[in-house]
Amino acid sequence: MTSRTRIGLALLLALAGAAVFAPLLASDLPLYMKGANERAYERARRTLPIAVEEFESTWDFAGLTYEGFDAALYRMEIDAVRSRLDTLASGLPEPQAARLEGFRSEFDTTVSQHRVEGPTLVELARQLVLELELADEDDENGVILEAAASFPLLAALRPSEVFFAGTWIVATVAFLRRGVRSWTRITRGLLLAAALALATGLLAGDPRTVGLKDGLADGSVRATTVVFPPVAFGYAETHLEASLQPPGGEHWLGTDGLGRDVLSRLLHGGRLSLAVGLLTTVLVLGIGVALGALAGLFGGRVDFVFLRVVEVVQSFPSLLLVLAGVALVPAREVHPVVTIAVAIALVRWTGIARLVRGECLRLRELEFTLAARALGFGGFRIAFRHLIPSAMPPVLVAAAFAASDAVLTESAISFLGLGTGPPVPSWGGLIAAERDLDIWWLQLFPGFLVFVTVVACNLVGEGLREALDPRARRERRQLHTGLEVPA
Amino acid sequence: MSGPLLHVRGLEVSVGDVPILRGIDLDLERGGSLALVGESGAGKTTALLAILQLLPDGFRVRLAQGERGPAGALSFDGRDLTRLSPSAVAAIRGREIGAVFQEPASSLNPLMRVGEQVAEVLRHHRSLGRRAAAGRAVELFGEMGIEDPARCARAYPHELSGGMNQRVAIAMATACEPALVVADEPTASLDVTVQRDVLALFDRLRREHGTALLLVTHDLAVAANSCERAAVMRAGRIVEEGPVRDLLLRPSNDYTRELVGALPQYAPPLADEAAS
Repeated sequence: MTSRTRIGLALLLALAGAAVFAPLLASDLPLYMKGANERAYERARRTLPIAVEEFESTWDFAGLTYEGFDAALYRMEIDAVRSRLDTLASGLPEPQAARLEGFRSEFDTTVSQHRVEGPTLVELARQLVLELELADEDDENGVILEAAASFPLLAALRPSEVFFAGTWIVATVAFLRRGVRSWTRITRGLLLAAALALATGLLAGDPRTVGLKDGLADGSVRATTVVFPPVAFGYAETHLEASLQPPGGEHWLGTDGLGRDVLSRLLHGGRLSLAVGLLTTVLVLGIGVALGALAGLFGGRVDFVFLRVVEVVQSFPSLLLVLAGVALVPAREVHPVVTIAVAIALVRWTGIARLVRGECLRLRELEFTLAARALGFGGFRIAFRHLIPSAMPPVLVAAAFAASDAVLTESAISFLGLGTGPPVPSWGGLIAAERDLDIWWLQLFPGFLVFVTVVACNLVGEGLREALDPRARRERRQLHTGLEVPA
Repeated sequence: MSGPLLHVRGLEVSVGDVPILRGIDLDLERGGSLALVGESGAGKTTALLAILQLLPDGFRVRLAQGERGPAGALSFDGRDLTRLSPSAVAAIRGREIGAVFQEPASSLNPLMRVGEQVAEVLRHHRSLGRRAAAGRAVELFGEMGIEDPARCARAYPHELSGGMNQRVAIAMATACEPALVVADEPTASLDVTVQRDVLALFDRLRREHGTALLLVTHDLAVAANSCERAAVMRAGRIVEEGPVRDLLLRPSNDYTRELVGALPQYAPPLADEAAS
């Protein structure tokens, strides 16, 4: 591997690492907290009777009729009640804890055995929340919550985030060891990441994390220990009193017009920019290799149709097509990252497809194809095991450039206002947010990150190209020495 | 089954209106060996590819027509290759007919370890498991006279010498113990000592497994050393066919005489015998 490729890959891994770990690096949620969350407790207490009422309304328990029964809604209402009970149970002292457990078993019985005798659940819930009232100056008899330890940030992680973090670690280890030694280990690492992701999926969605920082500020969350991530600001956390602060001080890279932390927004915005880059590259490779191989291997009429389609696609101004595509698909229905990636891939696959077609045409005539056929292999096996893998090296070079092109195009789209919208725009959108040169920090940092990403991709591409083509090195030397380079 | 292993009568190949082969007749017994010799462009390789049914697009194969139906034939082991379905022919290739080509380096897949490539043949035709196929591939390498076969199996083609690669190619062609091996100039790109070893390998296969050999070569010395019979081709026809010694010592055809006369004089044993 050339040093260029390594530098480029290192930069890309660093950027990807920042994106993958953004939720752990920049968030308004503490990594660790020991304390009593009265805010969440109060919210759960107030809404418990309403949740129970909603639950009972999904099914007429007294009459036991199934008319208009909606199973999905029923399960949702059960979850709503249970999550409130969990929130109330955290830090609840005796004897109230026993009362809560009593209600919980009452509720469970209702769910599993359709209990209909005795007082209704709503009545029980109303009674319970009165007993669970918090103590304050007027009422000394109320509940005083005990401090409980929690990991709010980890609880708020999504399974996909955990999986990508695992994948990143596997990739980084492979990079540091200069190549893959054992594919079994790679597979094991990825399986472990997937298992952890599934485990997070079972934990996810802790309602106690909502508004935690506000609660800490106004005293409704009493904490003895709080550990925040390095950047203790959420990407959508506004501080209107601290708007447009220049870099330095509490906000390392300054704040924007709404007082949002620029560094946090950069970290989270990078997730979108890099996701578009990655997804587009995968799509471009998929479409390009599939169509190019079809044309190159079948030839004849298939090849003719392929070439005409390529010409049509290439003759349109691609940025306009992408803009039109992104504008047509409502962001509510499809995630903008997917829309943008598909739109870019649909106009940019032609280069790689032509490359694959050319390689396949060349390889098809080589002796090892004939040898493979003489060994009795079928066309399918020859195409997938022998021809397409051999066609890949130049395609990988093109893919690296396609990635940098995708990041740039996405930035352009977002800059024009059609990209990923609020709450967190990608880097291109961040550049576009403010166009006043006095507030340079809002444009400089995202612009710089786009620049670094593109340079990194190009370094990887250049390095791969040089590694694969020894002629390139010789030709450049000839150019430097002024000797004539044969055409 | 009686009758020759390979039986070719009146084979004609043309590209458009241009005839490439005209009325080729060949017979090869089980365990026999036949050399197709002739100058470049005589149609030797075309004949070989026609037998394998692997001619490029645009080449048309015909059998000579008699008064009542086809008088020609292209049959292997009693089966008419021209009437079999493409998949049936593909099942014969690699399993019952092995093929070795001229450039060992370019006839192997550059991206796969050579052991895997041999194993792939075994897994495809013999339905062996991954482990069994890999083990058998190493065994085959040993039989091919490759030193340290286990290490060699893990190498890529570019890490091996031409002679090694040709042994690998022969291992692939003979992995399924075919009844016939066709070889297209298998030694043309090798130096003479390696050439001798590779030819000795074909000899051994013939003796130990009864594998028949159809060898295409422009080199009369190679033909004389490794085959019992030879057919001399010129401009798409077979001009003379017979035991290789007779052909070389008492050529009856002018062209054969010319070919033999073109042999360099320092080829000692043959030249001596011819002179005496």
